[in-house]
Amino acid sequence: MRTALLTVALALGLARASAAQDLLVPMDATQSNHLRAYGLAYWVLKQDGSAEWLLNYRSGSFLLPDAPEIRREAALRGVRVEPVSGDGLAAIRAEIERSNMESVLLEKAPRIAVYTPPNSSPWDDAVTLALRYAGIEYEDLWDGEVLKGELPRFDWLHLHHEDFTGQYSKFYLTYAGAPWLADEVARNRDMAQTFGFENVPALKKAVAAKIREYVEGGGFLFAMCTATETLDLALAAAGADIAAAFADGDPMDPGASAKLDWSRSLAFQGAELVENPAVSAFSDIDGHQVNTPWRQPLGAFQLFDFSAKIDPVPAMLTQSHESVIEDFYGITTSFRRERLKPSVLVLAEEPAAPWVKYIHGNFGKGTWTFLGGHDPEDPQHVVGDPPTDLDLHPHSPGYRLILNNVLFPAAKKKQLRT
Amino acid sequence: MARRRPRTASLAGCALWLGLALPVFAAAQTPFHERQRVLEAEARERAGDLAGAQRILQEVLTARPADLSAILMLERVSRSAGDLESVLPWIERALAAAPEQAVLRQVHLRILGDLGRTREVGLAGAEWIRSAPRELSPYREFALALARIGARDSALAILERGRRAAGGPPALAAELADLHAVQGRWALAAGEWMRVARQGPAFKALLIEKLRLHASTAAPGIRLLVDSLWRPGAPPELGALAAVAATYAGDEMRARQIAAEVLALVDSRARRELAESLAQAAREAGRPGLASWSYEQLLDAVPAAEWVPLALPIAQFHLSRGDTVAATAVLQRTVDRAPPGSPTHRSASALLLEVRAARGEGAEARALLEEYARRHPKDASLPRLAAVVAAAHLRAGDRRGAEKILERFLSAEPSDAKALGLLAAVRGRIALYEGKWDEARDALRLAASALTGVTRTEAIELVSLLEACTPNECRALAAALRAIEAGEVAEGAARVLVLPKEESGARPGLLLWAARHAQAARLPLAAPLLEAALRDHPQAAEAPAALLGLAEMAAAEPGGMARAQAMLERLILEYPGSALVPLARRRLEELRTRVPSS
Repeated sequence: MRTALLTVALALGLARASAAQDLLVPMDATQSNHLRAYGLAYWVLKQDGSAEWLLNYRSGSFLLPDAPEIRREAALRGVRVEPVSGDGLAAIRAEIERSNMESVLLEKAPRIAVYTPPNSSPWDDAVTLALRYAGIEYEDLWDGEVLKGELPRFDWLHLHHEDFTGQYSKFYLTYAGAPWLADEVARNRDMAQTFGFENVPALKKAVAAKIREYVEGGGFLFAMCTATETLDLALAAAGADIAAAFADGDPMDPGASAKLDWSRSLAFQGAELVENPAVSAFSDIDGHQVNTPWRQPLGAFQLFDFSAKIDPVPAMLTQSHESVIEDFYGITTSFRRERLKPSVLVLAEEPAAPWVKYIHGNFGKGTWTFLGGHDPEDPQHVVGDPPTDLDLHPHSPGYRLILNNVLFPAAKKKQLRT
Repeated sequence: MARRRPRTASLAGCALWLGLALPVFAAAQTPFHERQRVLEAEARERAGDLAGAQRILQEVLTARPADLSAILMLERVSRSAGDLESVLPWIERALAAAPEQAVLRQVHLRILGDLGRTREVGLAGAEWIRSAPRELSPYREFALALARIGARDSALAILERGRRAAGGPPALAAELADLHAVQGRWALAAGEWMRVARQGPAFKALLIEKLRLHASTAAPGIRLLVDSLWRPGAPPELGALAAVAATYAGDEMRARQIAAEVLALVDSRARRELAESLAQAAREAGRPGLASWSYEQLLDAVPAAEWVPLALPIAQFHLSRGDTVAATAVLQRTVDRAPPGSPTHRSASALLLEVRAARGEGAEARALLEEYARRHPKDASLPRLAAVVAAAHLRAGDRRGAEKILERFLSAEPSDAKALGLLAAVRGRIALYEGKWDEARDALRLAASALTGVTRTEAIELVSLLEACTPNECRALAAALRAIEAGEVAEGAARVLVLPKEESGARPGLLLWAARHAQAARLPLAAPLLEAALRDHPQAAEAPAALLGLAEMAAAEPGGMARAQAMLERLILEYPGSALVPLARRRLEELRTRVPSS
């Protein structure tokens, strides 16, 4: 394997030397497949090549070495590339220099882990869908691997709609008897028993604590949907019972909201828990509350502009060819502004609404990024809907946000500092 | 995200029946004015005004605290509003007014359980039992509420207590069996089911319903029940239940064996009952073979007068699973037995004719057509049936026979599109075989405009080829089509392959057409046809399709994955503008199976 990689790397180097030019992967409206373009950049990194991410240049283009193999791979993926001569490259660099743009060196394909229960369908998670479509490799892991300390093997960890409060997304009562829920309950209970936890909420709290340790130690965490809100609730609830009786055998602590320790959470503070076990919502962190009668309608969210030279990290996370994106529901769709910690950086918001959509922050040596909602191209996402076919959405700006996060850990370390 | 409604599980079965019965009962005891108000609340609920509906219902309950319609609806509306807790004071008031009302107790328990008030569920259940210690309902409903909140051991203890209070087995056997089954205690579940079975014929339906509910998860328990039910000396009615139970347990052979033994012992009425219930269970359990066998037993068991109405749906069932032999047998017997001229006779005759024609039994189909035309000379479906029989003759190579049928049975052109299309397709083929290319093309064009689905696609394909082929190629096409329709696909495809090279816009399409037939017949000849299309016509619009076809063939061969991938890559890289490129990309991604790496 190593020999093969070396051969390809040498081939890339030699070919580049002979062609003496670069390939620009434009990420503006001229790109034929935005999502697979990320996969192409990843593929180059995986072959021990390097790439540059030209922040804000034609909506966050990539600059790759010119080699026949790369042109071929681009054609196979349906990604549009433009050859750039030496003069052309000089002009690009000059434009970057005098504008709100920056070139970031991508030097290593990140090792990616997706936290997902065994036997889950890849299409029920927007990130695995995006990774598969783009052709980016990842490994699945779940509670067992997290508790055994395997997280530090990875640069990037993704969480999706896991309920870290251990209440099975509070579907337990409404869907008692459904085979999918029975499987989920049995699998979680077995896992709790295997690791000696009294119940599933206790197991999930321990997993949440391990994830927090991972970020603190320098990991990159990206979470969507329920995982965002419930991870923080589980962290804050280290000393309180916030799970309903169906999950752990006894009711939530009276006045549980007041017992939450927000110094342990990553993004949120001061939230009030939804105590009714029959309501599929966790707290007042989520602005939209999709499964309740007080559900809020969907609007659109706007990405903020950041200084690419001064703030390359938020600039990387918000690269897009569209700055206003239609919103999409999840059990946690958005984050109410008044529940954000002061240190949280807002990357996208719905103007004039009391909630934001996309947030980022540092913790210890690592970072976390939370994006509300379930699937950017399936705004209502009723379970039982057919899987999203990304061939129908190759330019999806919502999915681009996910893939920005995947490549972000590939950036050279010193450039990640803000 | 909304979730789909789950399948009602185990103990909930009783609640379901109760739930269906209640609105009728409740409506009957509500006076007119209150009923109007409840209807008004229902209208508000439908309009999405949940708060308005709640307000009206609370007004009704203020006047009539124990009004069941209002209570049940208030529970439903408040549940939708995420405000279940607000029902509790109203249900408590209702209970104070009518403590003897079991439905109110049941609703009370359900709400407390759903609110996670475990301790209060216990208190309410215990209170209900204290008020009616000799009745079974309190124990059953209390246990149901406990099971819903996951307290299955407590539910079991309550049911056993209820059984003791009611004088022992078989009281609450179905509920106990449910709990044992969901917890994998197969022997205990089978024992309780056996108690249900022994309670007599009235409990047969209940037991079958329970087995149906548990079929996917409790097969080991159901097999134990089969052993208990069908032992030497057991009465045949238990044997009938054993056959149905074996079906739900997935043991088709055992079900058939037990059923055969029982059928030999019982009278015709019991035979019919067993065959019907076994066929239904087999269809529900996804056992079409057993269903088919059961239907045969059913038709054998019923007297002549009852035979005919049963037969047609059974024949259609056989056809739905592609069993034309069984369908033909049933239809023939129906035609023989049904009164001539009756609607059943006519429908069965028409269907039998079509089945025989599809099976290539042209002579039999023609005889049926003669008979049909004699009995129903003005029937609107006659032209369509004539076209179907003519097509069968044509497929058998009997062009003259096909023409004669059209002459004999078509005094005027049909008016309905399907008959017109079928007829045009037959005429187009006859013209093609006779070398009348223009006539063939015109007729097939008409067929393409009138038909739908696969037959339309076939007609369009032939028209396209006829528009561009040279006389040599048209002759080869006609010969190939005749051979293919007669089932000689290899011979037909070979005729296209050996055509001498000549300049023609139709050649790549012709090669692909022949290759598709060869592929459908799983003939290796498909590969040289596709290769010829690609090699000799690399710039043709058909070249990407040939590459895709070759890639699919390679992917299906052991060790052919790399070749398949290479061909898909070639398609993407050499024909970037082809409409097949997105499909090739998708297939390439599937074949690579390189993600995830774990």
